[in-house]
Amino acid sequence: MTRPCAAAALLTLLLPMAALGQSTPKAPAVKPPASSDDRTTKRQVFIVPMEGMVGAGLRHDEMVKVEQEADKFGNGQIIILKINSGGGSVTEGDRIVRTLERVREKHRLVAWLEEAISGAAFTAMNCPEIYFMKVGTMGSITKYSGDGSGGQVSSSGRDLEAWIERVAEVAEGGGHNGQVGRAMVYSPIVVSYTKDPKTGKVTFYADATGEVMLSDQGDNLTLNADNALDCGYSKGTADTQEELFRAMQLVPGTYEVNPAGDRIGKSWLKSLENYKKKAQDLQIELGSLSNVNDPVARLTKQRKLYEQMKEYWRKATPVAMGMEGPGMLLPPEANEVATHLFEKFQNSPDQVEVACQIIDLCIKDVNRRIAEAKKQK
Amino acid sequence: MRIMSRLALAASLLVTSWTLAAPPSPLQQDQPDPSKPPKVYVVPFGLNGKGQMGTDIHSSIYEKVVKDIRDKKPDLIVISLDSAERGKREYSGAESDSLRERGVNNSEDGRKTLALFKRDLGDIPQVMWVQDSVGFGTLFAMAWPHMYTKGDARLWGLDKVSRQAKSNDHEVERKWLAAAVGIANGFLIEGGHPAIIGAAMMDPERMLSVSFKGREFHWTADRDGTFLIDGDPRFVANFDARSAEDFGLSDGSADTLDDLMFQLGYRDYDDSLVKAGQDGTKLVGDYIASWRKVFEADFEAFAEYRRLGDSTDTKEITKARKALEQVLAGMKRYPAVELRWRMTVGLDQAGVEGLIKQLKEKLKGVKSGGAGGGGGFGGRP
Repeated sequence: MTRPCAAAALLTLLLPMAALGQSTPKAPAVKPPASSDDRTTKRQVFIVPMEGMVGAGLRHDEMVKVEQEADKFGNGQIIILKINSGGGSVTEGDRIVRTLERVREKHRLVAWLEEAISGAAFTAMNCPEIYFMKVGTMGSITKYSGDGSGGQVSSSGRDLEAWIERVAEVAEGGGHNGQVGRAMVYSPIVVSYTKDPKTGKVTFYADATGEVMLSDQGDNLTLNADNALDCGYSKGTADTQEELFRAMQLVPGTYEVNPAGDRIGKSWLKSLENYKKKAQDLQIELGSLSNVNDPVARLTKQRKLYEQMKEYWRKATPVAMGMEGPGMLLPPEANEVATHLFEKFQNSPDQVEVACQIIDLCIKDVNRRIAEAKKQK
Repeated sequence: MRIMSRLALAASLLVTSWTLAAPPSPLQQDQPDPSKPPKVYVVPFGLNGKGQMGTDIHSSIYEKVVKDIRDKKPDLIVISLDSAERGKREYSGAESDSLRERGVNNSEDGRKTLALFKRDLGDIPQVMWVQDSVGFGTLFAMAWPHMYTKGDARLWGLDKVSRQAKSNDHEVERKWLAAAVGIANGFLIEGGHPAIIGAAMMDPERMLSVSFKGREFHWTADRDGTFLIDGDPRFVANFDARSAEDFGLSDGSADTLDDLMFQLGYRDYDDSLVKAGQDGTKLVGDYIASWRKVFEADFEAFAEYRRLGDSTDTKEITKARKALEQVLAGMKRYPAVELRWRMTVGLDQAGVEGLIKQLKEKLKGVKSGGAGGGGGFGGRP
């Protein structure tokens, strides 16, 4: 195992603290197209596959890229986030909220759900329109972190209260009922509703007053296609793109699917896979350094591998963080050489930068050892 | 006597004429030519007691089956589910599970398989026919609206869902339980069943009872219905063939394909594909036998790697590497093999690739006169 104890301890804090520290691509100001010739009259539909952990496969970065593509056609384009994720980083969730708040001001923002658990449900709530696949799910947004011994501990006290209200706020920001969001966070929270049989209007209650109990006192709420549709959280159920477009009431001939959405989503997922492999190779090469007899050559190779580590932190942060792949990428001696930086790492909003500082210190140490080895030669 | 005979004859003629005039099965109306007896294609989900979810029952084989179905153009697909953990009928809970044969809850792959049949073959009528189901296979059983069971079939074992959600933190447990139940309930919703049935089948704390409103079943998550299905917070709701039929989860029970077709309302059917071994039975049977054979062979190859992997002899290291390459090839060919490796040895493709790379590095080291170390992932340089 290359991961030192301190690095392992950091991993346990991954979920609430995974500040990935990647630079956020800046959204350009929306401009109308240069001339009418540049613009197709058809509305552009971007369907973005978002799969895997929030912060790894499901990130705000791809949302921003799609936003930029949509902006090229002016306001009012359609962005569909096709979500299949079991959740992930809370910090990434915050970035997603900021991005989607902006996107929905300009474009029609839709979530199409296969599996939206935890952080993925939090993501979906930002979208004013939510559609479920028949097998779709959404909920279970309880926040937790590692307890340091392999277990998990849910947030409590003020942190819990703040999280409950944060989820409700995000739900309401997306035009959804906040109490439903609260019930997804903390099991004792109750939500029921009554549906007017004539108008179909749904009234939610924060107790058992409603005719339909959506989530009782022992239940952490996870919606499915049926109850989400009945209570109005879902606008419709669709398994295929055609069904979705019908449910969205898109008029044939007035829109076209822009391949950029699919391309952007899949391209990142592919990169992620590549980097997972590269990270694993790097770990193995580190473990095999003892095969190199010459100390200078060995240390020089070690330095090269550390440089690669830095590159992965910048280009594939989720892999370097250990959210995907073989584990957190830090030099084995980091907890000896850079102990003082570990606390900074835990609390920093830019963990990538701190991780690179830690690696730099290790490189410095390797340089010193190279110089010593050369002297001995 | 004579009068009686005449009456009997008249009665029998009446029955005959009624039989002849009986309308074909409603499913038959969906055929391209409703006047013809339906050509039946049977797809096993598990076969001959080998029905492990995640291995024997995996989307990779059903992709092939779906293509075959498209080629053969049947009028009716019968999905025969036989997934009762070890295939034994004395199943009594987790303690008697065989680890190797224990089903794996891969909802992602389950949804993929479901989509293959429901979306890609949605134009062909389909019937779920449960031979026996204990474990995650029960999710498949419930995912088809037309479901029949064998007379002694069980629809059991979804308590595994809640067992997987165990945590020492109450809220974390509630979270994962809700997530797991929500995800699994997607299968029941596909089958047109209320989610509260699924919740009671997975979460021991959920009650379940049923009442009748006219001919409709009215399910409630309490003990207040006319029939109490599950009122004990220590256990989940389970159904067998009889109770599933009584409470409308299944459409009936049938022990043979003839029985099933009769129950479906077909007076005649074309079983030429079944009899000629041209349906899914051979494809699935061959697949199950093949991946299991590959797995066993790979297991032996891995033993070879373990025997030779520590050697410093270049020939032996090369042999060990080749043994691992065989394991990797098996995993690439069959996801089932990889899953079994994860369950039994804790290795996946990435892990084996890592070991191969380690051996290559070691070989380089040995050839250049180095230490030839580098076992395990990483390790302090």
